[in-house]
Amino acid sequence: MTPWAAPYYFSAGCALASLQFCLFFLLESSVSSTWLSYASVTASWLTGSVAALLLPRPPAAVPTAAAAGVAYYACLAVLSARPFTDPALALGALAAALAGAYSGVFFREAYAESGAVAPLFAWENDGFIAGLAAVSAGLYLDARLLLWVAPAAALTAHCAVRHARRISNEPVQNPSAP
Amino acid sequence: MRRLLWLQWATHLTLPFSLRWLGGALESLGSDAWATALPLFFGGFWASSLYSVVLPRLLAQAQGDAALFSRWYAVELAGGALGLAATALVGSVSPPALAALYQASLAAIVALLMPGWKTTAIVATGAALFLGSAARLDAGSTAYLFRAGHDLDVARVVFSADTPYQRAVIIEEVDGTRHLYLDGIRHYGSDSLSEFNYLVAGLPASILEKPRTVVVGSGSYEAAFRSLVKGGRVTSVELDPLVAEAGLRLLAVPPPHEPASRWEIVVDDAKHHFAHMRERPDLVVLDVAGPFQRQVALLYTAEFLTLLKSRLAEAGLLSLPLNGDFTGQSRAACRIARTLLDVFPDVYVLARGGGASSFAIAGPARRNLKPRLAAELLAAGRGDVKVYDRAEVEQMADRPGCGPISLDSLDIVWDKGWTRLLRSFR
Repeated sequence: MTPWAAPYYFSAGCALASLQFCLFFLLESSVSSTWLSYASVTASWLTGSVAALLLPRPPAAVPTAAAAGVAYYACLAVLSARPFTDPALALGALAAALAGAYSGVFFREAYAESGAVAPLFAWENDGFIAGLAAVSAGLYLDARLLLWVAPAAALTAHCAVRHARRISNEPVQNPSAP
Repeated sequence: MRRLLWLQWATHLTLPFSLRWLGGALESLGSDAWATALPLFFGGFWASSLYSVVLPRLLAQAQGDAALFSRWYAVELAGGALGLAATALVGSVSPPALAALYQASLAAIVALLMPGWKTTAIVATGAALFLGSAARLDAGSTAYLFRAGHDLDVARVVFSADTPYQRAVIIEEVDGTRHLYLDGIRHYGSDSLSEFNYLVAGLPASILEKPRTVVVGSGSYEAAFRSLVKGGRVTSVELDPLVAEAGLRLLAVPPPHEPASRWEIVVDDAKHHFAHMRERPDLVVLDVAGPFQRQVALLYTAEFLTLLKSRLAEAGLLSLPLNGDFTGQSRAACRIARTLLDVFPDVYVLARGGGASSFAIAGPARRNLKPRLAAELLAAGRGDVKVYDRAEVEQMADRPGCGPISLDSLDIVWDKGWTRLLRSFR
């Protein structure tokens, strides 16, 4: 494993957990706690993941993650301004599908780069559990603040680690070489 | 790997019944803390490790072929989606059928991982035996858990289902008393609920004329029936259709025919229902559990109570249990009362003291209802229940740790459980 691999996988798990759990809580508190909310997020998430894994040419990773973040914040903005707006559920499902798609792109890329399955799943899974625990605790302390801050912070941190990893993996240029 | 697989298969073959026997046995031994921690470890760590071991090993067979890895992982996720759909569809109809479906999938995985007729014969026999005894094991293990863990003299398990929302169980004791448990928490018991329903629904309805009433929650529907007696229309709002149906069929005492024509059951989330309700009810009754689970806690937040205030008729009332003795040390009761004080101009608390649970009535308009409520209580033979008005409630709620419940402060959800868990380990 390269030095940045573990933090990269871990931060991906954290970001995905934060986005998923915040989306669940946002919809259950501001649209409805009925099973439809959970089913639409879960089904959309899995559909996005499966599509991203099966597409012949996967979408670019960072724009997909950014699109998921934008869709989430659009949903949050709509429901903050007008709680219990039913069509916001579709926006939530879109955010879930894009986040799921990023998950598919992430696993596809990470495996293609390393070829190692066990550390990839172990670190991503641990990151997901850590993210879930942190977000659960945070929601009980200040849900409103967390809904605005956590997904952006987790996604930004993950993209920063991704960038750092990319730089560290690039071959060092020798300035004196011809 | 083979040994682990057999060990995991043997463990999974006992689920979910072994968790109930384990939890019940530990509780009957007085190990409350272990009764919480061990099943969590057993179910969450040991049982789920099969998945953590099998999936990476399966995907590692792609041997660097990224396209193969993607395809296999996509198939696994699609299987996960199918399993979730099956759980939702089958679990609510028959828990034993869901368990059988689970065992059949497990047998297929083991047979595929260790091909050979011997393995196939063993896992197929195991699954068949399980299938034959699942219904009996489900009822037996559930009855044992409630006998050992809740000290109930269980005669039979009347209803048992895993709905998409919760595990719902109705137990009948030897003396005929029935109890509804949702996720292990008692939501209804025919032995003590009449008093609860009088205070939460009968009393506020008695001071209103033909109130248009909305009751959140179902149970035995006694709260709805007590409101119907006053002659208005009543809507019961219940999130879980299976619990609504089971309550009607197995817990409710049939109401008189005439009021039933003025009563409807709506399956919806209460927040969503009130947000879209066009009528302005005269009385809203929150006949729900305490704010100790995330979804239920949302019904006690300042945000939801503000929504209710905006929907109530001008002279309307909200009635709800405080889930503890407000005159004692109950932090939950105090925090719910504090939230009501922050949202409603008119607030009354009804308390017996001595550890008995208190109730509250609140309204969007200031009215002096204290003498009227006290007179009604006296007439109903409940002169021991004291009524506190807003000024008195404000004074009593002015104590440390008694902040309002809101989206900014939902720590009440873990407060009770965490405190109880720490106490049981000491």
